Amino acid sequence: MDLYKKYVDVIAMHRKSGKMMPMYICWEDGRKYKVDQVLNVSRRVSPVGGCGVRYVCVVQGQRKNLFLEKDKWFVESCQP
Amino acid sequence: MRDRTVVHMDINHCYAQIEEVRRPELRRRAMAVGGDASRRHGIILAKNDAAAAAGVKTGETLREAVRKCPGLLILPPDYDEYMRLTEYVREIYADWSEYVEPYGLDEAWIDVTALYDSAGSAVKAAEAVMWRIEQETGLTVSAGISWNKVFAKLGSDMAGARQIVTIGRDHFRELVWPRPVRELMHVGPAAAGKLQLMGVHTIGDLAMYPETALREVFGLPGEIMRTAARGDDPGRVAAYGYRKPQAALGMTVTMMRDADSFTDLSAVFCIVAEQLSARLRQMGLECRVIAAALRTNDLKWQTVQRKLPVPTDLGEELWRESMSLLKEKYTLAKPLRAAGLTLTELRPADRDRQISLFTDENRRDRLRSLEKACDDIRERFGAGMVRRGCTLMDTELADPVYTAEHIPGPAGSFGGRKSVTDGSV
Repeated sequence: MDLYKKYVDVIAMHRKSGKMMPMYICWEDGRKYKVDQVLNVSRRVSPVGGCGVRYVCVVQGQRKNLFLEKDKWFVESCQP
Repeated sequence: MRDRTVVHMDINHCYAQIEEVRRPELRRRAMAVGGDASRRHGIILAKNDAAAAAGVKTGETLREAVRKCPGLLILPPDYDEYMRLTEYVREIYADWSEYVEPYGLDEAWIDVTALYDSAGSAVKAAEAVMWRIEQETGLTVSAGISWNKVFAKLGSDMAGARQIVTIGRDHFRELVWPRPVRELMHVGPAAAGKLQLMGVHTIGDLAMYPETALREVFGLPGEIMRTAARGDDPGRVAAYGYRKPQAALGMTVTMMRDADSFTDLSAVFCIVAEQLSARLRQMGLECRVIAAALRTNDLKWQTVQRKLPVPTDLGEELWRESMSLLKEKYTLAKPLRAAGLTLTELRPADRDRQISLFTDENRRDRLRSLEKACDDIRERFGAGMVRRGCTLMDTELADPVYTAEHIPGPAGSFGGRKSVTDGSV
């Protein structure tokens, strides 16, 4: 399956420990998806291009990679 | 004493590879990162494998490259992104060892002597670091491992992507000595040319050449080259974050049109001197020697230099000295494509300096205050906000000088010459 790089808005929690956790991924049509769990945080390159901090999230029961690339968030999306 | 273990790592065709990481589809076509042709910075800065296969070479003009490879995609450089990623790679090195000495953006030496007992375990560790870099940034690197910096670098030059070449004491004569002398660090194109004439073709020839004869022709650099060829380079890997004291400060600009008169040059040098003097004041330094570098439109460089009567950090003095230097020592036989100044013998600005009978120190102090005030205005409102009248005579020539890109180049091989240039060659 082809994946595409899609920049998204993200609502994140900046914890007092200095850590940042994504809470919601906001799709361009206005829908908000709650990040139920963050399984893993590490620096990674993405096959769709770009690299940064990768948050492996669980959204609606599915694993989804969310990347923070410098100051922008993107997901590996099935839709262009 | 145990031998040192020095690793040299090099990000393969760095700028082009970073572009490929951002846009993986670029891997499938011939692509290069090139200077801005409209600003006449039209050379290839890096190319990907497909472009290299078509014969495209780093440093050649865009026109030449497109002639060899008609479908070549040329991207403008994005230095912010290159700095961000290469800095991250350096942080990975720093996780590995506290001795990390960068050489330009894409290369670094890492001293891992204290970490491993054998070269074999150093190789394994280097593989792990290379894997981590690729996982986290998508960049491939090549590595060389040896007991000295020069051979470590040569090793990484010999290695392909994701490869490690180890040069040990037991086999360096077979591995290194048959190679062309030009591949050795410290041997530039001019020195290589002279060495060829002396019958020195390989690194082995250089290692076996009589020391006194080399010293006679090249001076101290001759000795350094021979020592390097023999594997006796004593250079230490600097601690991570260490910065050599600034040895030189320079700025060169490629002009939007060729300069063909001293009036043209005067406007360009006026701005260059202004910007350099602002940098000097910012760093609390003054310079003793000024050198003007000029590049004619047939792409040949020429440099003239002079020692200043009194060390200075004043733009006006730098400007006047550079123009009088040019008028005295340079004949404008051909139009100039690029020009710039390099300031050397930098030292802390000494306010208690010996007062010369022939300079009016009060006037100089007033001038310094004036220039500082202008620095502040430029800092707040933009580079061209306060300017001398001569730079308004031909704004097409002068204006782009204010916005010339400043790119840090690698420190030179001898004594860490570092300059700020616009990246044009």
